[in-house]
Amino acid sequence: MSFRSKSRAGITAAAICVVVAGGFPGVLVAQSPDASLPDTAVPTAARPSEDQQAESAIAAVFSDDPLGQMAALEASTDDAEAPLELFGFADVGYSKPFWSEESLYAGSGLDARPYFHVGNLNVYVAKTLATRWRFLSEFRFTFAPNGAPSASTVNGMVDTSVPDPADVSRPFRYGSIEIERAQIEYELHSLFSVAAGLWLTPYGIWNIDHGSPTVIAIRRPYIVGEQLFPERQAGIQLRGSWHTGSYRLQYHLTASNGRGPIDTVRDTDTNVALGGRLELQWRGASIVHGGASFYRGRYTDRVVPKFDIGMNKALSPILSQFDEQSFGFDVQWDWKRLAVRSEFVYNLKVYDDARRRLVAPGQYTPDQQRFGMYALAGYRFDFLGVMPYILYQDYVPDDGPNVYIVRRFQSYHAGLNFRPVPRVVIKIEYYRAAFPGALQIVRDAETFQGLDLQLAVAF
Amino acid sequence: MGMISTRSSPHLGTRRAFLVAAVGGFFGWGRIGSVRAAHDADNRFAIVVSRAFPLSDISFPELRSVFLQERNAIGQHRVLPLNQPTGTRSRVAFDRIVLGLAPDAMARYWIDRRIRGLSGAPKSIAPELIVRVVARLSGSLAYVPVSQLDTSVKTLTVDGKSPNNPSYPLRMRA
Repeated sequence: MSFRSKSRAGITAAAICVVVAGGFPGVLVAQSPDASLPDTAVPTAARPSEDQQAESAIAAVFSDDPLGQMAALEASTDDAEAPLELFGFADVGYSKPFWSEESLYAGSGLDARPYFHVGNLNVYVAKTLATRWRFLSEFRFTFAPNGAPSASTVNGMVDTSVPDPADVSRPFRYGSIEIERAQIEYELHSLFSVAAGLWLTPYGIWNIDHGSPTVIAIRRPYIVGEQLFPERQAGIQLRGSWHTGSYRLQYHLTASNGRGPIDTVRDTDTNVALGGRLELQWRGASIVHGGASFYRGRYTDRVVPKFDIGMNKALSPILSQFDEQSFGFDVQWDWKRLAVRSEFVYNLKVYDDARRRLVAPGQYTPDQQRFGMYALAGYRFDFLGVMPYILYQDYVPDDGPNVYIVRRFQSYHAGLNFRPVPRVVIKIEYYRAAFPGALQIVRDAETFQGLDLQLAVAF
Repeated sequence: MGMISTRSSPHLGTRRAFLVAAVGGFFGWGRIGSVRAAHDADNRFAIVVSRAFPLSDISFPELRSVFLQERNAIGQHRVLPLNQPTGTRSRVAFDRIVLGLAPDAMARYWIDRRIRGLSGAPKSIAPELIVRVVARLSGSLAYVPVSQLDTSVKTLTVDGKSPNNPSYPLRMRA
């Protein structure tokens, strides 16, 4: 480096010092008694105070974009870009039925031998896409169709064993994935948001709670399991909430393909199924929810369309078709450690006379009405989070062919829900059922009773 | 000097003792008083927002529903609650006083919400940063012990009561 260039570098350094000194006079004065000594000032500026470090950390965490900041915070993340959220729940269980292998129930496909099983393995994938935009999906991994009834096999059960090409063709069993929900949500306002895709039908309590660590008892109530409302629907859902004081009013309005054989991907008729829910919550000394839900839709099962050259048009004959409507009421009361839940649901199916389903030679499915209720009460003690509970169910299945066997289910359950830590739940439940008005063969059968154990975790 | 003084007046020792006692008492009581004041300031939560936030009051039910993630707006104003970290004294006390839930019940509440497909708990911010974050982030809402307040943020009244009001609801039991 020549003298001239050294000199130029020196001038540049001096200029920088002047700028730095001018820009941070306070720093120079405070940190360096001699303002003419830039060597003292520069390291001071390079080593910010703790307060500056904190501010830098905040600046690093939150970008300058307010929407980005909000999205990042709403996503509970430290990044401006919200990460993919992965969480879920799983449960394993042990069931001990108390009926014999020769009983009527065993002959109806209900296992008589005690067995271990993996119940739910549900994984959620969610992401806050931007402020007001969110994606939520839930997948259930199952062993199905392994063990499902099959008329084409010798033992009457599907065996999914296939050769594993990655392991010298040793057998392994494949399973399946059920898409529980996949929805894209946009919130325009607290009074108005929309979810499009496949979503759980907003009715009652159990269908939304649905996760084994969240629901108190082990088995789904009949009225939920029998799907008097569709469990999920493909379509759009509008929802919103309005608060005043300790009250919150929530609404849901739904439009979907309705129920059908392929309703997650196609609507087999031109009828849009409509539904809705209104829920009022009061949060004071106790928490009370009351809700009312309805659903109205058309079920159509038809042959895949085929073009008929002779008639010069596509034909898609309808195999069966009915209109259905459901309504339900639910109430939930939490007072200190006491929890009470109850739902009532009604469903009516009215067939098109020309399109009733043939169930036996000369016998067609009649119109059906199904209804039922359950009531559950539990009290959670401080001691290890133990909650003893009782559950009562009453369900009238339908006026269909089954009416000749069982007219009504009544079941009584008593159990313990033990949540030693918030993410782990252990349940033990005894159940006993009765079938009033059933055929003599059912009334003479062994008592329908058993014991279930379940270990559920949220992860 | 002291010896001379002592000798010069037999009452001086008594007077000095009185003076020492009086001064000591004054400072002692003062210290106890200031400790009490500081303790009291630690036992009250202030609800803070950025200075640009248009509201100056929040009702107790609004506060509860915001921190339970049941709503994300007060009137037309979008709000974003910020928590103290899990397990901290402030978080535990706030959850008990405002949300009415003990830590285990609170954890169950958030887990169950996630399983229902709803949002989880509000984001937690380190206690030493929370005031600064609120000051910078319009719409954010947080609770801090009154002793940690500074002028960079605005304190909301709760049901019309300021933290100095004896019937202010966000007060921990001593």
